[in-house]
Amino acid sequence: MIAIESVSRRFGDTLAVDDVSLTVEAGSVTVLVGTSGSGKSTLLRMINRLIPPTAGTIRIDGRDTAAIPGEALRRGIGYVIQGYGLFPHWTVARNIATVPRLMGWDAARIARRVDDLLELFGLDPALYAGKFPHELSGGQQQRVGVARALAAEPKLLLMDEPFGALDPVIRAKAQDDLAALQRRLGITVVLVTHDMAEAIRLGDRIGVMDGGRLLQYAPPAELLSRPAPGFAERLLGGSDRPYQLLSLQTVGDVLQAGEADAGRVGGEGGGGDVDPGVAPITRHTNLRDALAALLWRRADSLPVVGADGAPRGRIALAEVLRRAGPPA
Amino acid sequence: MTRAGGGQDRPRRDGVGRARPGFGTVGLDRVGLVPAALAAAAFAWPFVTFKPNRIAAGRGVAFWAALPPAAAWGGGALLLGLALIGVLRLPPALRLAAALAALALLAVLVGLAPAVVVPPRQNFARVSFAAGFWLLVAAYGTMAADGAARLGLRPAPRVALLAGVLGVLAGLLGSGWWDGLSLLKEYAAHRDSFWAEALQHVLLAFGSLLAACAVGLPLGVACARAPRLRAATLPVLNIVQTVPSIAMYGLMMVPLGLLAAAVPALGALGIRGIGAAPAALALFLYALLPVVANTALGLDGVSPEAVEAARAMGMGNVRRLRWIELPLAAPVVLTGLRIVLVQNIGLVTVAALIGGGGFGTFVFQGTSQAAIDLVLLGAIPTVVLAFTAAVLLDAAADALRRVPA
Repeated sequence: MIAIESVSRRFGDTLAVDDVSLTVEAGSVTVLVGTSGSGKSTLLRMINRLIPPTAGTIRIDGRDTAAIPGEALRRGIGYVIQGYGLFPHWTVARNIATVPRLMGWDAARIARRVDDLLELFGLDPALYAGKFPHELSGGQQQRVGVARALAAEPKLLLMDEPFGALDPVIRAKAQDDLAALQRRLGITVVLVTHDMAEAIRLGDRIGVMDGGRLLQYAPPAELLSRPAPGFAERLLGGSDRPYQLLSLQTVGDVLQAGEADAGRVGGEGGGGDVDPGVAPITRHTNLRDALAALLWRRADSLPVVGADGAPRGRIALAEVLRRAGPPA
Repeated sequence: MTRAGGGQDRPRRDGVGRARPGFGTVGLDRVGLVPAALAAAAFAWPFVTFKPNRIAAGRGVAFWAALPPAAAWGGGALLLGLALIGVLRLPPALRLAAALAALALLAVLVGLAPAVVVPPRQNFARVSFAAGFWLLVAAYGTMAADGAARLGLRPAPRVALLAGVLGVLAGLLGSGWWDGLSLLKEYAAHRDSFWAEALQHVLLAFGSLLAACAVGLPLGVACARAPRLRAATLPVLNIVQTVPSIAMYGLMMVPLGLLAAAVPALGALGIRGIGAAPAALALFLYALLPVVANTALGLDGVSPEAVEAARAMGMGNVRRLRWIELPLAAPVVLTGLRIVLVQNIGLVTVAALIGGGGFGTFVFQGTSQAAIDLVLLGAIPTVVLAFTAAVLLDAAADALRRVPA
């Protein structure tokens, strides 16, 4: 758990972060969102004391971070930045081994860990361990950046615009991979972005920042249905909000018994993406995708199937629409 | 090395038959025309100079008269033919090979001249290189440099090529083929001091470089970290750099002379107003600016993301410098060292004026005796040394850039 208590940071005459307090639950994903200059990156860098706060305290698992030597503190916290900051003169393996080497692991243990991480990120060690960063694609560099941050098995991962340099298709995949990884490892993630859709997609809680102040700190559903007036509301944008809200809910929430009155189930299996004409709907499909399928097939309701393709019930357009606005 | 533009391998879009390289349709290379014209013109100038004795006025001897008839006609035709290769749009490797072959041929031919030019039993007669010879060297040297640049050789082949050229030169000198030439007669007369001065030259150039590294690298790091220190340091070093070398050597004489007078023990160690000590100090001061400036510049060029990532992963200042910043700055730092070394090898020559030794000793002796070949005995090794140092350090910097360590 991270407890940020009345933290401020001043650069000369400007107050970059102004009296911010928030708590990050262990094992959760917290996203700080705001425009550039909102203080979100400064707040992130104060957690590992790359930038020491000018006022306030930050505790990680109850320990005041000011009492821990900076280098030791940072070795225990993973860190990923936009552009990744891979060391261009080191191989992928050496890059990933950075923190274990700093911590004095023995060579065999480092080699094992590097291989495990490359496997975990879908990079064949035989092929990629000896490559240099400039020989990798953007998506591969991003994965190596995250692998390097996780090398010494930190419980906390800080990420500053980690997907900012990726094109939209790869970005969506990288976001899904991060979400899956976070659930699997149970680590705490604090992520900074200017992209509200990314925040809603990844965050268990979202902190909206502007002018150094924390305007709202809430789960995505609450943020969407009851945004703080003013900046937070503007940041969410008007026309997208119903869809964002639907994307947070799944078919399981509105599943009805009975048969659908129209529409055909498309192909077998499939990964839940994305073609609204053919993808089968399961209880895990989010309501945004389900709505798209209903609209695309001009159906009032569609069948819902299990992983085996057997019918499980139906989903009705009217019920989905009822979920697209804030609770009455 | 940079690739010269207008290479022969670029197909022309406007031409019809001349577009593609190949026999019968080979086009002209405009860059290659210059050295070829130079080579052709060189034959109108005297090839060697004949002097009845070492300091007498000389008489120019044309290429055709300076060599045995067979060698003159055969060698001349071959030289012009090789120059023609430079005119045509042919592969750069071929042009480089032609230029090197021409240089080797020239070296062999000039060795034949003394036997032809010097009448029998004239033991004091001298035969020296004349304008025509130098023009030919310049022409084929330019052609070779152009070919090598267009070839864009990797560092290792470049060093191998240099080693080959130096090897051929050493073989030629060792074989005694040139012993009839005045330059080698000067060498024979100064054989003992030549190698002592060569050693002194190298020691002064490298010693001052090492000292400049010992002080300049840490100072450069400090300048990169502290903008105020940088703002104070670099202008001062810039001013030092603008002091003419003779004036600088003169300036060094006074404080070191006073110091030696005050502390006799230092004088006993060789630290005096004249000699190697003021020369080394002056060279050290000249070397500081390139070392400090390039170290700071190289560190500036390290990607800020890499530095931030290093900090964020808990690397301390020293580790970050050793693991990340210095290796990434190394090519730029090495470029600075190259500047220093080449500059120092040249400046050491002037140090002979204040008794610093080195190849400059022969240059100044030769000047005072009006013996131009003695001047060359000092100047040519200096040029070879500087050229070798430049090629080696360039190759090292390139190797660091291409294959990250």
